[in-house]
Amino acid sequence: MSDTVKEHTGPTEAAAGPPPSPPGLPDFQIVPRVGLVVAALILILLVAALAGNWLWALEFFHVAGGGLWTGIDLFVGLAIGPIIGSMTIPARMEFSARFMPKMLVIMPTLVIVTLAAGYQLARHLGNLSPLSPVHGWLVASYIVVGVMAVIALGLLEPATGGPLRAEEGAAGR
Amino acid sequence: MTVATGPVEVDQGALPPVAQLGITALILVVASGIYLAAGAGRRLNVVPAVVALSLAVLVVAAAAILLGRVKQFAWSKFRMVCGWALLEYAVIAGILVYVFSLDHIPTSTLTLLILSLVIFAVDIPMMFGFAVARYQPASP
Repeated sequence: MSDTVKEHTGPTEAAAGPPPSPPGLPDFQIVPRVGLVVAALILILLVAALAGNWLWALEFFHVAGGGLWTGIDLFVGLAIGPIIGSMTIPARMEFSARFMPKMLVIMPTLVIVTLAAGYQLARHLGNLSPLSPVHGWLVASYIVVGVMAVIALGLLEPATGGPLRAEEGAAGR
Repeated sequence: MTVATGPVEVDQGALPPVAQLGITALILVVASGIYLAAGAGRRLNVVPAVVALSLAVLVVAAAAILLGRVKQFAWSKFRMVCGWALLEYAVIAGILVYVFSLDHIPTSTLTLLILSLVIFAVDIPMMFGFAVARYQPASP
């Protein structure tokens, strides 16, 4: 997959292929390869924790992963988001070009370690059993996460991308 | 005399309702997954989950077929985004299947959970790719 974006330096003569990147965008990889290596190491440790039933490791992955997941969501939504909203389109593009590739690796890694470790932790602690006193709370958490996933993946992601890209198109970028 | 040609914009009005179909399939899969997870550890009637997943398969297939018939589209961007997202969700689905298999979940429930993850792993990348590519200049 060809996904390295080069900085546009001037008019090109090629008539075929996608248009050059707008001026000012840094050279970046949409999915950073170094980040994939770090994510792979974390997932290997997760699988080891799952296979070995290491309770301390499962607790760490679930609590640390969940805390980081929620913390990053809140920080980006409440702090970074309004800041980006006040930036010019070229500034947003430059920020996003540096920010989003890292988020593409960080967030899915946090999600998978939180969910996988959490499910195994619940099984170890007996919370998955219908007889558990907290079973109702777990089901409620499934519903909350499910609703959030639908809203984020089905509504927010297309909605935030669309208007910005339309705005870029109208501005000739 | 030569005619200058620029990037061809995708006709938004001609695009099929991929996003809407994708969300519908997503809701069906999530509902089925919650139903199966909530019923873990007891005898569960899997018929509602089977119905929901069957509908989800039909909806995702319809979205894919309708999208495949679009001629003027940023297919290179779609393939790039979809490819990376597919890799991501394949890893996620694989780890979750491993977790479910460790727990010795009944075969029928495990089969439905695996099917849910497969549908999820196809639907989300398609939605991501479509959301990005629809606003890019068309390419072969």
